[in-house]
Amino acid sequence: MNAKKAWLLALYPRRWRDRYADDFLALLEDTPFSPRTVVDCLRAALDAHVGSEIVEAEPRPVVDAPGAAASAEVAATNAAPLVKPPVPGQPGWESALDRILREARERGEFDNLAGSGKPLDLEEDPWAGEWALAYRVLKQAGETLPWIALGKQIDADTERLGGLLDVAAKRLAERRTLARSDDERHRFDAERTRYRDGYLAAAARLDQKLADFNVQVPSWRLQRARLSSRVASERFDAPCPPIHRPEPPGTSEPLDAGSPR
Amino acid sequence: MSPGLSDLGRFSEPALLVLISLAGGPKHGYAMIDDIATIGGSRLGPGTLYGAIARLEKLGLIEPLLPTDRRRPYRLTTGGAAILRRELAGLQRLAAAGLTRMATS
Repeated sequence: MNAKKAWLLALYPRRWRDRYADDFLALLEDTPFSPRTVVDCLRAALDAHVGSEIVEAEPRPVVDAPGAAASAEVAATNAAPLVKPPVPGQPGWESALDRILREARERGEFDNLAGSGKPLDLEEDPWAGEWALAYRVLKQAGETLPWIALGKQIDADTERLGGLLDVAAKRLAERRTLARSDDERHRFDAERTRYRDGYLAAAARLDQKLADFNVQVPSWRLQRARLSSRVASERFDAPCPPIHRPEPPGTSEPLDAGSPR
Repeated sequence: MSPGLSDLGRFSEPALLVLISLAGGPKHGYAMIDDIATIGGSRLGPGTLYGAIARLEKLGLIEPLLPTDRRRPYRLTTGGAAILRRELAGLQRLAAAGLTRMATS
């Protein structure tokens, strides 16, 4: 709670805080903390940055003094040339940053800068300094960040895995039509198991890379779906069903690609 | 010509409500919010309230008193009272004109 309130206060410009921090925090303590409160404070803080509608000097607290009336009258007339608070989005509105840039431009600080009017050169990194040569060599060699390189590897592996399945499905479909005797059918299933194990082993290696990838990416948004052995099995079994149906379940040990013959 | 509240942009209405609230005597921020809600204005958020207070103080229409228990009360200045009277008179003329037209149409 306190952190949130400190955060709301921190939105305001320093001069404003110096003047109103205590009152404002005391008020926040009595106010239920809701999204509406946050939005309200955000808008007001923006206003406080854009306008500068605050009393600059130390507040002069008034201890009930009837004589203060005259000075208040003076204050009211002094304040007459009031700058209208500009409204964001309306004509005439200019953010503090815009103003700084405009004034610098008017002072001519942007005149005759090197390279003005020429297209940007995004190939060379001007901040690379003595590393520029090394970066250029790496870039020309196709080197990149580890997670991007791994992502490319995963793309290639995924494609290769799809190719593997296509080959297996095509070959097994041919074999299936030729398997007439019981013996041939058993041989078909054995061959199918070999393809299947090979496929699942490759899928498991790909899944390991996906797991590595997901912990390396800089944002969870970039993470990719894993490839579980169950999903991989289903993908293989759909186009390549066995002839002898239920073999004892749990034969999907991916690494045993040994021939039963 | 003294400044009018309409110069305060989106803070002109909250500013008017603050002046009305302080017309009933000095108050600190939270008391103003409560008071304004009671007399039928909207319930102001803390940011809006202090946006209005800062502007009114800058214009010299309200002034701070000595804080009690960290909460600083404000009161109407003479200038503030004059402005408030003028604003309310304007609103009264407006309301009267509107009501007359509604009655005759």
